[in-house]
Amino acid sequence: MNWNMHQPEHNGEEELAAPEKLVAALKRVPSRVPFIPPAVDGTVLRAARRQLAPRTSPTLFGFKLMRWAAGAAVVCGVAIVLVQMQRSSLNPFPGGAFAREDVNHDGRVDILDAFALARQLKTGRGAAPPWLDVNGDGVVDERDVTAIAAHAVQLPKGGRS
Amino acid sequence: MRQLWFILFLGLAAGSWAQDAVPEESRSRFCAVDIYLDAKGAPLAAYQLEFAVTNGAAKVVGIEGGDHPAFRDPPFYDPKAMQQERVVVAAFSTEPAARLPNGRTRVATIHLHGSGGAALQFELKVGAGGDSDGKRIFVEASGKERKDQ
Repeated sequence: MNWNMHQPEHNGEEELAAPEKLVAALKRVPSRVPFIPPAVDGTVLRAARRQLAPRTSPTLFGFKLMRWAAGAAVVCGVAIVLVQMQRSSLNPFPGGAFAREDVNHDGRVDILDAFALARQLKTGRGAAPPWLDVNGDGVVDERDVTAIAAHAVQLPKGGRS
Repeated sequence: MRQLWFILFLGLAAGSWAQDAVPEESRSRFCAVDIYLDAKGAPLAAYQLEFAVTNGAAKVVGIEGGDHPAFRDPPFYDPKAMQQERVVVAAFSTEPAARLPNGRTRVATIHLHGSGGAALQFELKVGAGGDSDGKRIFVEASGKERKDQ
């Protein structure tokens, strides 16, 4: 490299003249480039490439995680729908809003539910629906009436005031 | 002789005081409360009510049916209520309206066993009343302790 700024330019432009102090200082700078082993150079280069490379892996991992989460949510949703359909097939009231013993569907179980079933059995107007088999013995009869009545008078705290 | 009479008097007095000193807590008594319902003219086909002793003076020991043929059988109740202070009783009849009570009638009697000298205090809460069509109706409940026991 030639640092002599007094060398004339031949491209037709105006000749530049550097100050003498600058020229002297530049002449004191060692002209030899220090030797860097190729191994060190390569290591620095690889480190720089790793540092400056665009970060694509974490985003890809997040995307995969989101896909798994979405899939799990869909599976859970389908399972809930299937369970609800199974329940509604056993209990004819949508959403399972009434207890099985709540024969008259007034939202509470009391002696009027047992009375309603007893009237239905006595009048014999059509077969009693299977969901009124409260005691689970396979038939709807007086024993279910008794089971509903027993449920109605049940003491939650064992009779203590 | 006067001393002998004095000793005899002291002995009789001590016996009398000993009788009076029987603690109130050891007194045991049985009583019964008649439960009446009044359907105010509607045919009473079903009822449910809660009976509770409010001062701890007695515990439930038995439940009996009522006067009217429709409710003569003992009502439904939780057997766990025995020896407790609270019970829910309920009954129904599928008889036609003409054979059901429509005025004040005794539907049940609660038998109790009490200890101590405290007067019995209780409360009644009507849970449900129904007519012969199964419709909910208003019924008025009252209870009266029997005095003949």
